[in-house]
Amino acid sequence: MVQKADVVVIGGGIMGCAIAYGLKKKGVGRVTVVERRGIGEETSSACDGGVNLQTKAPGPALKLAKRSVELYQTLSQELDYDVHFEKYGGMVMVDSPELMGVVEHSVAEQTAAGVDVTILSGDEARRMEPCLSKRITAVTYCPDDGRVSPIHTTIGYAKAAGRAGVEFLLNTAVTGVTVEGGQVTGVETTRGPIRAEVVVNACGVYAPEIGRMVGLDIPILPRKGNIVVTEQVAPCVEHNLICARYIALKHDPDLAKTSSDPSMRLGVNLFLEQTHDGNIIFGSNREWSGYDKSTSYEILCAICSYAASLVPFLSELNIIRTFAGLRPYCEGGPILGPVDGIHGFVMAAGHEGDGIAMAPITGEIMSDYIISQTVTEDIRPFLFSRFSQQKG
Amino acid sequence: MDRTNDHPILTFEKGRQVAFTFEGRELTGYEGETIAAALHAAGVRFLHESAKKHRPRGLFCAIGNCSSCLMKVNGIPNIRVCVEPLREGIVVERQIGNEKARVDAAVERKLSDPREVIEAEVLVVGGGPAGMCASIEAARAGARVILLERSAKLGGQLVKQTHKFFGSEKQDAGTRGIYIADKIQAEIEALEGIQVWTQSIAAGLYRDGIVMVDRNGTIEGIRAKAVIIATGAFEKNLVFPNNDLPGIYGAGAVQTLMNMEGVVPAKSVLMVGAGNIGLIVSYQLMQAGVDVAAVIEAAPNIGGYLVHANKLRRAGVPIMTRHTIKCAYGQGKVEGAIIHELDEHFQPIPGTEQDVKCDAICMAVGLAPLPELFFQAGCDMKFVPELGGYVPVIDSERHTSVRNVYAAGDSGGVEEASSAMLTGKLAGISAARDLGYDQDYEAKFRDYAQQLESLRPEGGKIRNGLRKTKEGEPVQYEK
Repeated sequence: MVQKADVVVIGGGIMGCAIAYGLKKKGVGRVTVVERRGIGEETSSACDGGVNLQTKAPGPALKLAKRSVELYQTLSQELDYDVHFEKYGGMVMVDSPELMGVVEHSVAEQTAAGVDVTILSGDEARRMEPCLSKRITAVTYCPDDGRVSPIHTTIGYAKAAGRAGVEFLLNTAVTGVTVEGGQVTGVETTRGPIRAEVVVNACGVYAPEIGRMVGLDIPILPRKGNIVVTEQVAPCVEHNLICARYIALKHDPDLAKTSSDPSMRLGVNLFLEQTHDGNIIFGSNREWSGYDKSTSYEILCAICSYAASLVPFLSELNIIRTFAGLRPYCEGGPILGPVDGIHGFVMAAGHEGDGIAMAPITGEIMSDYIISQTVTEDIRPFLFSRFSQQKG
Repeated sequence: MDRTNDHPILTFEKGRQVAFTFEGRELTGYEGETIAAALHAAGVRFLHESAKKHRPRGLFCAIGNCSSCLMKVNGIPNIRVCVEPLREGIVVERQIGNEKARVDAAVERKLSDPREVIEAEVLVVGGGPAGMCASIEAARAGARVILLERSAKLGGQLVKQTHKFFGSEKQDAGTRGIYIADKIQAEIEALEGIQVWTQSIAAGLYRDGIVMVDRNGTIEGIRAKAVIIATGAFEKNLVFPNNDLPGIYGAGAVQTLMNMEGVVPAKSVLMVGAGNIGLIVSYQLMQAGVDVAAVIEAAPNIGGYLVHANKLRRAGVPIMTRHTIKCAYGQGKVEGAIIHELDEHFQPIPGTEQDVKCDAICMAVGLAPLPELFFQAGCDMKFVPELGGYVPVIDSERHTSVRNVYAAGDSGGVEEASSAMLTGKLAGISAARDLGYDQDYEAKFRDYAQQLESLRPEGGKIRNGLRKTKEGEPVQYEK
């Protein structure tokens, strides 16, 4: 039996669910999400929940991030599902003098871009967040940084989309995308074909697989990060904590190669937050190892040691779980919007570590694009064609 | 006080008497026994309240596997009191749901330096009969061995077996399990090549080949050339209304209480399961002065040895085949159970319900292997009901599909204690041989393999299960 849809969204992660929800909310008739496993089983459930403004590079990404935070403020009400969003504020912790320069530069840029970021001394920061080690000499503080439960957000979008009439085909893999005369005509799946003139590739780290089905070489690479979860404890960490290394490595990954610090060479950096349920979740590192999601003793020890050096009380807690997630890395940010030469094939993948923060706005602008077929200024910097232009 | 004062086989050496507080009441127990045992002896069955439905929970496994006995000790929540030793003056409280620990986030702590990874030849995980035998064989062959045991002492379930073992002379037939355990332990102490780490939990086996060990609160990494997994099994329960009432115990928990701690588990017990464990534990209960109301068994036949069954019958204990438990009842703890008869399709026959008054229900309905480390190592796994659940695919030399990972004992498929010792021996010689310590390997292999064969009845469950591990595809999981 051949099914029909107006839009097929491939991928049931946070992006696919947000886009499907946006489409249906705006009145698109038949929207089908095809997911090879279950909702949010890959990157969307193997990540932190930081919705941070001060870690975003000024420019188009930061502009979108600000709008995304606005959308998060009312998202629980809109989806009728608690996504646990709260603006707790975020701190970037500086523990070595050479990182102070990186941080000052970043704060100047952020301030110029209209983000409320200030530099606080270590003592000022400890008054607000007593868990910080005395090693921390300064922090940059942004009151607008927030935090969300990534899993609840993904499920919230999926439930709201389902209630609005989006069809979800779970445990269903896309095996081919059909194109006739430069126009997408549908997808082949393990449960039969679906005809559709618009197909959205929201497959995150697996987006290149779908790309190959239409002859595209999509430059998204899986970048692994190890994450540690502790037992639940009473509220004791209020802010999202990020180390300055995170900022430095995000903007200049080569720093890891040249550093004299062994844990820096492993790409170890720190994010840390206390979840709604009380677990402390922290990590992470940046690692290229293909699609392998295994954890290693060496990396986990390096992450734990580094985390405890900045937030010493962690050494008292029991670890209940460790895992690794794959972030969809793409140079220059995500790939959004149409692809030249394949009409109806739409990209929405490659947010690396910003996917959770960017999901609400991505759902909005992608559904707008699909309905209007107009490339706005929001999407233009993230078009796939940026890669061919570079080469050309 | 529910303590065994006069046991036909066992004597209980207890520490000094100490006072502690439970829910504001002053109680006494013996230093070093588990908190659960001390509470049990004082008549306390209700230890924990479930998070959502606020149901009373008590002891179930008594070896730290399940989480039904989590309590607050000196204000710290989530303590498994079944493995936590009693100390003088501690304050024990019933825990409601998932209580969160309070931490003082502001106190600066001195951090220890990262520790060097320890290099080892053979690492054995689990100090029960299989792990102990594996260690001895590997060390005798010349390998250096580290043996990890989660609890404070070696022996696993073997130290709770007061009955005489079957098999042949080589397997110490006719000797009580507790004495076999003593003998093996003496051998381990005499061997220089074995380092025993007690209170050491293998927390993970990582892809860089390192086993993370929580050694009494300190994290150590061990990179071993061979890892023998002998983590054992855990007790299954059945699904029936009120199967979580305090007073419903795994058979192992009953043995732990009465044979290790000298605590009388109940006045009257309904035994569910007439395999060897159900029969033996029933007899042991009678030795400890407990009334066994009945032994019920869903299958049409008694699964265990008739020698054991006959001992019970002579004592007047009814063994009811084709019967199972319909539900348990009681206010806050077991007061009885409704049992009913099953037809040939294992369906209950209406109108056959009987009320059995008892203050404990002992579940002897089988064990499931503890497979986590095999999964984490990326071993090929299969689900084989005859062997208890998920088991690694292994060869006759106990190799798994991962080069340096070996399976010993129940973790590789549930059998019984004598087989566990033999599969441990095989894993031990095999790991040593693969490291180059191959003297007399062939002869030893033939001997142990043949003994093992003789313990596995032709056409029986184990042989069928082992055959199944060789058929079909392994289970799919993320490696």
